[in-house]
Amino acid sequence: MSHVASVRVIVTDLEAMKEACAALGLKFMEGQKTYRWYSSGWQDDSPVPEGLFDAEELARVRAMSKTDRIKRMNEVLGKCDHAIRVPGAEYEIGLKSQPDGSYSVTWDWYGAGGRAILTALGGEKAPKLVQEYANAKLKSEARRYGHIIESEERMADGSIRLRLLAGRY
Amino acid sequence: MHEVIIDSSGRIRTVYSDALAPTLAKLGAVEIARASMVEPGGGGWLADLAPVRGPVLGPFALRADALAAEVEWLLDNGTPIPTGGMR
Repeated sequence: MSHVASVRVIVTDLEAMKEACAALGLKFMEGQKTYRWYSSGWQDDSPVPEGLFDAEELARVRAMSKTDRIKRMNEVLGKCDHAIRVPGAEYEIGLKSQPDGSYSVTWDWYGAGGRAILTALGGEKAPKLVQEYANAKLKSEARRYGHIIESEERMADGSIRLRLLAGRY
Repeated sequence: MHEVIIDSSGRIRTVYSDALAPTLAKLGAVEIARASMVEPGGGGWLADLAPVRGPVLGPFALRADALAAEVEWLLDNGTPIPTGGMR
């Protein structure tokens, strides 16, 4: 009897992210501490997005008064540890390190400034960037554990299929 | 040979293997779920793929053949993520 393993990808590896950016024609800006987004700041006209805070802080921010929430959001948004530039986009993507060692991926997809990012990344949750990161990270880790990448295919449904020959682990 | 699918949302799925487990653990939050049951029945061994909304395969004379058939079905059908259904 078989089991299926599925993985919700968490960004932790900057080298894999650089490879993902290269695959998508994006420019990784190592060490850039701010990213361009809506110049007037957080307007509080949409829900606080997930991914900026851990669950406890997210609940706390969502429960704040509008004034406090605007202040808190503007402390966070636009600040990052690394950034990604998308050709033709006015805004940029921010990568911010989190206490657990992962990176949040934040960008403003609303309005004309973020439209080119929305197109390049495939949607609000940046599926194309996540997929290319996963592909780069999977191949990197597989090699590290002695596996051989036998083939890589881009499928008609948009998925990537890798065939691995397991080595010692 | 192990096959790994990275779907267009970036989610990874594969038939579970001990050999790949350390690699997958480096990628994010891993969930593992039963995809089939291999049990005696029909005068042999049956592979029931209900957890992935699949068919019952068999009967097979050997349990090993039922196990091989279920893996082949999973790979041929894109390694669907189990939904937990039972017949």
